[in-house]
Amino acid sequence: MVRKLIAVSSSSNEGLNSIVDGRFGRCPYFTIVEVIDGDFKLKEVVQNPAMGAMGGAGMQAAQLVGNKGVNVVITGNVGPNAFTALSSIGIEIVTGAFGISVKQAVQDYLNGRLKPTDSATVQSHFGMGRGARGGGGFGAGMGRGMGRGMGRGRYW
Amino acid sequence: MSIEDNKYSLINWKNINIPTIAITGGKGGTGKTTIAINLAFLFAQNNNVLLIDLDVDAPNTAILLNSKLKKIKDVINFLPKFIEDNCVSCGLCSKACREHAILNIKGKAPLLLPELCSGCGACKLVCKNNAIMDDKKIFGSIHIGKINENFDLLVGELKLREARSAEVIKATKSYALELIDKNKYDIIIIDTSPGAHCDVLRALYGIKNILCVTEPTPFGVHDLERIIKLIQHIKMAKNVKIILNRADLVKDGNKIIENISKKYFVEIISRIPIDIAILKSYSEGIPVVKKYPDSPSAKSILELYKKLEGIICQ
Repeated sequence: MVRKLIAVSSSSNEGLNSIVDGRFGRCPYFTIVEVIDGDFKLKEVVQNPAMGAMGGAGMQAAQLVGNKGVNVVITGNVGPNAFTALSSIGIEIVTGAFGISVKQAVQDYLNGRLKPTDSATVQSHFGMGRGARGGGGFGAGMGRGMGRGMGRGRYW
Repeated sequence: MSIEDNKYSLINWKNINIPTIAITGGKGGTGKTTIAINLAFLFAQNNNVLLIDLDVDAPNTAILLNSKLKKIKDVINFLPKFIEDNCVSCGLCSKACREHAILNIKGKAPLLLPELCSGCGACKLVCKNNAIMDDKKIFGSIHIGKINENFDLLVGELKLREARSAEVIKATKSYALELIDKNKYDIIIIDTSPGAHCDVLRALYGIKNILCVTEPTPFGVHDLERIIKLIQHIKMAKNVKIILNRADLVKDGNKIIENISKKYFVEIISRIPIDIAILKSYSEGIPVVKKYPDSPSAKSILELYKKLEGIICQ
């Protein structure tokens, strides 16, 4: 049996029907999905305390999902600090999910349409301010071609 | 020991008896550094002068003076170093870190992101297991140069990609106090960065004489007003004056600066005309008052110098 926990950055707490928030560190919620042998179900929705953070949001969010025992994060973009933090604790970072539901995002990941990234996709503070560029409109095109294999290496 | 309780801490700048002039102005590119080096050069003809460049993001007095700098020391700060054998992964350090520089996952050793660390040391204070040792992070450097017999240059420089420029200013000013203790300076001149932010505030802290260099443009007016408000807010300066550079840039352009002068009761002490000589001297790395002493700009600066002598020798 293969069991995985996936945290999806989400714009609301509507479970699998929430729309993915393109920002990792500053999304309002994380929808945590449990995958068992290819099937998946909603495990829980947690609020992201770092949503309005001035700095270090990626670190706080990484801390949150890390302590939830998550194996994979699905989001739109990831900043450098969050990338370093997540990859150093062995969490796979999947980017390029924009404007789709959590359910769709997990399906896309499971069938290989969304892929892990091996580097940060945006600069620090990218998602600051509400309704920031990380939102759906920024472009579903971004990130699709970005998966460059399994990016898991420790940075130092 | 923190910088605050040191004999050479920033706070002691307000007790300095040596005449000190800071040159600021809000807007960038108005001629702050040019005026600073020219005034320093003139003062150095009869006095021992220390010129301090506190534009730590882009210090360039040395370039304008065509001088070589020697690094004196690094500006360092505390950085935690985790002793994994002592760490019980309690998470206290991570909770105490306001910058969220420490990632703590249950059962794993803490992970530090040095870029986020401010060096406050809170993590070490809260750690109950001696799992945090002192490490250091270099985020700037201090340099000195000797322009001539009577003219020393002290420069603070922020390391690229570091953010804590105000700390470099603090450290440079602290080091300046050491230098002032050792050497007999008659005059200290400080060049600040543009803007009216934390860096400029730190640079101006404790300085009695402040010159605001501006130009007769809406930008100049806007930034001048901000810096004057800041200076008047901190209430430490005895003499605040405006230097209007490129005074003949626009017809009637001086009016807008004069309005600010009247509004805040700050005198325009000098009007420097647009002058190609100043540009030439700038590219040659020689003060205009030395290279082109008969040029209109050099004459204005000389006149300004004489006025300043009168003011600070009171």
